[in-house]
Amino acid sequence: MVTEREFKDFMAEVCTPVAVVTAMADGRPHGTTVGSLASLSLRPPMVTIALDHRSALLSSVRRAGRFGVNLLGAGQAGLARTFAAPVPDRFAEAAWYPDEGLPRLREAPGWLVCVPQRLIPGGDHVLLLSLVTRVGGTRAAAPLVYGRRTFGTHSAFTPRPGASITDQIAAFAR
Amino acid sequence: MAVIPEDQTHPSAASSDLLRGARELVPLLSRNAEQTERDRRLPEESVKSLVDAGMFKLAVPRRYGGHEASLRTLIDVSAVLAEGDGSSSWVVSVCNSVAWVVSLFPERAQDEVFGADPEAKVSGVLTPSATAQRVEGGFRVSGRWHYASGAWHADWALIGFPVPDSTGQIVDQGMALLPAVDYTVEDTWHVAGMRGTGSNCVVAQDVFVPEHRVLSVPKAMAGEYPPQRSGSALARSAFTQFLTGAPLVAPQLGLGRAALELVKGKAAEKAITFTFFERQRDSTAFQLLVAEAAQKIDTAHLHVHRAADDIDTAAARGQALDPLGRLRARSDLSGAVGHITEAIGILLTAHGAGSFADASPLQRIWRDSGVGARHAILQPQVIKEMYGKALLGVEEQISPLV
Repeated sequence: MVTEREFKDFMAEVCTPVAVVTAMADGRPHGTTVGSLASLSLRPPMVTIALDHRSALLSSVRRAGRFGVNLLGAGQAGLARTFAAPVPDRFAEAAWYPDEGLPRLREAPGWLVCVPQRLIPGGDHVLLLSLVTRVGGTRAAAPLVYGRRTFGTHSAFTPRPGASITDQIAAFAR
Repeated sequence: MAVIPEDQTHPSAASSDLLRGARELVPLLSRNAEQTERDRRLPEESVKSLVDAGMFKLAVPRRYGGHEASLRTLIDVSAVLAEGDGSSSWVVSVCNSVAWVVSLFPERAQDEVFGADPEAKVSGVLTPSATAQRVEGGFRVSGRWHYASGAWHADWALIGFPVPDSTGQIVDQGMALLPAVDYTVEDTWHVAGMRGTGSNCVVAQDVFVPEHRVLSVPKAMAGEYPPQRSGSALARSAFTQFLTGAPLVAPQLGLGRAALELVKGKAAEKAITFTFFERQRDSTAFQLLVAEAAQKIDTAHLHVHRAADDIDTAAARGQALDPLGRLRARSDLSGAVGHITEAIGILLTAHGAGSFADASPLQRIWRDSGVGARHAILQPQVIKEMYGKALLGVEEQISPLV
């Protein structure tokens, strides 16, 4: 018998990317922070995300038939917390704009537009097998990572004492 | 003549012989200085005299008949040559520094360069301004390498290139040895000072470089030299510091000394215009300027000698200088050049407007020193930033040249 505590403590050790999934419904933006973004297929490009089966976002996605994925960057832990917290208007605290009719966070370094193909229930969540119809963003910032209940980024992305060989060659060739 | 007697703290028969040999060449180099810059290359007479005095094999390993001199000796000898002519000193010390780099290469490469000709002169540019493909047994390299000092007289060129793996991915920064038949030299060096160094552009098109003639730059900078037969302490010296000290800083010391001697020498016959002083030497203002310049030149020597001794001592012990020690040496070397620049500025002021006459060697010293002092590897502010970061334990690295 696995207790919820055991399971949560174990999963806290699994590092995940941090993304804010968004949808538009009834003329209003909806969005939530997820740690479940994962690559599924290359041809065609597909990802999976899991959403709480009772969430307002899931019903928005079902109705709209599309959703956006804002991949957060290092330094955006505040944004991740905002979209995970029970605040009435999460979008009031974020700079965003509609992109293909989907709410896009201005500073997020990565952006996907997705169309769910299949929705598979799994326990208290629903897994969305989704086709990626657009990839955007500058990916200028290092990715935000969540692990051990803490936001951070891979240590290799923090200011490095040593530079890559191509950086070094560029420094010599300037 | 020298402000600080060279090699006072490291007297050895070999180094004093080399210093004497260099000193004997000063009148000739000085006499040829004007022609050197007019021709924008060392006259054959100068090259021959330098070769005969063994000046191009100061850093060549002993097993090939070289002197394998310490960095300290290399600096002191090059500085003496610069009292005669900055460009000649620069070419000699560049070739010697590159000869030292060759001594880090696999033995087979050393045999090809110095085994065939112990007097071989090698010019060098580490800038990886090239493209390369990995092929069976080595690489095919094409590129243009600017500022190859001494390229007119060199038998080989050391050049930099980005090292690809078999898929074309860049995996290392390399330096390679090319024999003179594999490249051409374009006459591109038209500058205000150090005109005689012929720091031209080496051009190679799709030449094959065997594996044993390639060395990794990052490894060399980290002191990871492959073990060589010579087992020489010299071959363990700090890379960046060695390459900065000998060719770039040593000529400055001699130029500073020459400027001071010249100004002192004229002080008994030159008046101070618009004053009652018939001789500069009688003016307190002039005396203070000379003292200030001399003090700065002394400071430069003290710093350069400390750096050279740090590098030589660590090499002799078989230890790599730690990063803070390497940066202190870089700071010493770059700071020393700044002191010389300031000293020469003061001497020009003390000597007067006549300093800038074409006929005055002082204007050539000023131009040679001024141009040499601006070599990118000496940037004083950048090096101070690096040294300051190291002193404060700030890990951010702003340059690969530590």
